[in-house]
Amino acid sequence: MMGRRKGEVIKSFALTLLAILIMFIILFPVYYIFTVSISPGSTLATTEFHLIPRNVSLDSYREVLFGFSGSKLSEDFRGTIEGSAHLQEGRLYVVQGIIRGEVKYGPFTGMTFEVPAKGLIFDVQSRENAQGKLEGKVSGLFILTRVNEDGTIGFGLLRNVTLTGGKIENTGVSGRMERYAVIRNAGTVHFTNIGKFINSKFFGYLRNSLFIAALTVLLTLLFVVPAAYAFSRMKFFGREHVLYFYLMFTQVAGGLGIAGLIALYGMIVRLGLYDKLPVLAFIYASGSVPFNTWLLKGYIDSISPDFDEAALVDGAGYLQIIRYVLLPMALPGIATVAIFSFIGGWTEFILASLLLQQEHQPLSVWIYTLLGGIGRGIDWSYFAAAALLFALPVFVTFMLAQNYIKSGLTVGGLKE
Amino acid sequence: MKKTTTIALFLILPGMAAFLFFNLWPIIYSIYLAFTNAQLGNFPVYNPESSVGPLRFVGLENFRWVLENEGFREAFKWTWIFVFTSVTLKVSAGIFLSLLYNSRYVKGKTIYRSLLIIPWALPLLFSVTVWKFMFDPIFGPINQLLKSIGVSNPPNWINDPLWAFVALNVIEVWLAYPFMITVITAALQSVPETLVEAAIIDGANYWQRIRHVVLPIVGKPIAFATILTSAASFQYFMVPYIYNAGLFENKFLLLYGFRKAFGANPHYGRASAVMVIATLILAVYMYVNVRITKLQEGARG
Repeated sequence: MMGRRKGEVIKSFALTLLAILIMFIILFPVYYIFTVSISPGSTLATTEFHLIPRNVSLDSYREVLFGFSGSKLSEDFRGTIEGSAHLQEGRLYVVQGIIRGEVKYGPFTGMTFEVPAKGLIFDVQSRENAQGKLEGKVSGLFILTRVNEDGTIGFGLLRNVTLTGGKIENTGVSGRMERYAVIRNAGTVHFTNIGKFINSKFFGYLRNSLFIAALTVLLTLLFVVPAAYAFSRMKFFGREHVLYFYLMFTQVAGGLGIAGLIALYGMIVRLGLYDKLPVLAFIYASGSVPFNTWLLKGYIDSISPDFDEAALVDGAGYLQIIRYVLLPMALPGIATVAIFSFIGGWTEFILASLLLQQEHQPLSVWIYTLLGGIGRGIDWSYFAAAALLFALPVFVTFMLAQNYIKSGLTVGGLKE
Repeated sequence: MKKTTTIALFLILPGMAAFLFFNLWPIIYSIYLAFTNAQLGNFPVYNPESSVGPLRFVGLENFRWVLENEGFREAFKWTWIFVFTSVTLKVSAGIFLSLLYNSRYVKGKTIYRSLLIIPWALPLLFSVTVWKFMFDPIFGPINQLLKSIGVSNPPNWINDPLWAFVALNVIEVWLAYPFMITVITAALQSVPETLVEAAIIDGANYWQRIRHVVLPIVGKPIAFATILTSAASFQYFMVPYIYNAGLFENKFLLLYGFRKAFGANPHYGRASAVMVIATLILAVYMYVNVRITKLQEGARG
């Protein structure tokens, strides 16, 4: 008897060990890409792989989230000017000086810059002549198109600059600057973190992704919720036929989706809908109508009709029943559909790369493009960080809703 | 028309209309395109300056071209090879993992099971790029491991046709095992405990119990999962497209069709013909499978 028990313990120990080992092997790739994303970019090519990364750095994430994209930024600013200038025949010539400005409104609030002011001319309402030290307040438009590696401004412009409350040797001056000031490889600019984030390439793509995914969710609910209610609760002509057709379609949807791509592409171009973001959301939402309708219909089916009838007996109308009885009870099902459509809109990239120009492309397309650029200007840790940030929302929503999703998928037996 | 029919129609119409317009119509339009000379220059919009004539009906010419095309035959052959290899691997991995993570000797099963679902929760694009990292010939950990255990010339998993094919199989198993585990675990848990105990009392060993008690009960769900997953293997497109689209161009039917349309030398008519043929094969395959295994009831859930 003791021998048998001992055997059991050893067996249990060995199998548990095996289970843990296999789990680690299976999940290793995900862990690996995480370690790549937190290791400094340059070391990867030269050093060997370590199970626990030697020097952790968040540089890649910083680069992805806050890296200056080179896109054009143009914001109103307020600030000060000081330097030496001379006043002559109603014109103020700034010989040498500095303009310090800060952005006060909008997404870049708090961004500051400091640029040399040299050879600027202001039209001022003054008949006096003077020379000396200039101090005053300025406001205008700051345009930035490039920032150098060391933080200096690669190329920028100051436009529509107005000088107020200026003083030059006790002579008050105020007026508008003539033309504009060009800043080339000079001056410095400091972003707030929010400003950096909003100015990053990542944010540009993120905005498109969020727009597409949110619209997809909205349209899916609009398409699916009323239909699922009708299929579940109403008897009408053609009900079974449509349902059967939807079910058959879900089985081959993946292949047919690719098959229809060519014609879809032609259709969209002909209708003049090329490079229009909302179109993609329409395509994603309508593509998932059969699957989601089935999913939600199944869920509503599981809510006993007794509830409806009880409400009906109590004198509630159809709309009231839907509003106060069915919708609250079907909420988990609706949430599952919403999560699925969000994930669908967030991750699709083939259609998005075919139908959108670069400016409108979502994150998924960016990740795919980056993948082709590894080794040619894109380093691994940068890519890994971007890819992880892309996957994160999907991962989180899926994990939060995994029980609904699992039961919905396996009960219906609908989808891999 | 009855009143409920009108209301129901009103309720299902938005989704139905969107579906018909953005999904069904393109598919029908694809079938039409397969019988035309659609190519760069006359599709989507006709460009009078190009040498190809306007869009016209060409009968079965595209289909004839496709069936005589070497690349298509190659793709057809390799698609089926892939269906065979990947499904075998997926099903055996699924059964093995489910048995392991349902074994009463393993402690902490629920934790492992909820962690093992992770690949399912990741976007496909992300997962494939992760594996592209893993299989990188120089920096990838797999080849580093092979080198460290003494393989002096580890394979090029990305560009060598055979090894890349092996890599695709590994990736597909990794992507599909959560589905297999979920289905098979659900089936295993539906096996009555008393039956197994009765078999133990009758003196059946582990393999005999699996063979004669468990398999007959879980056989049907496994067959169902196998058919679904083989259909997914046949429609394999995204993974080879992300992994190495150029190399696998002639290995997967859908990818072959896609590259005919959006690759270097677009001929939309021929590409549509490839897609139509692929879809027909898939439809027949599914129909036959469902009939053989009498799974219609299962499919209706």
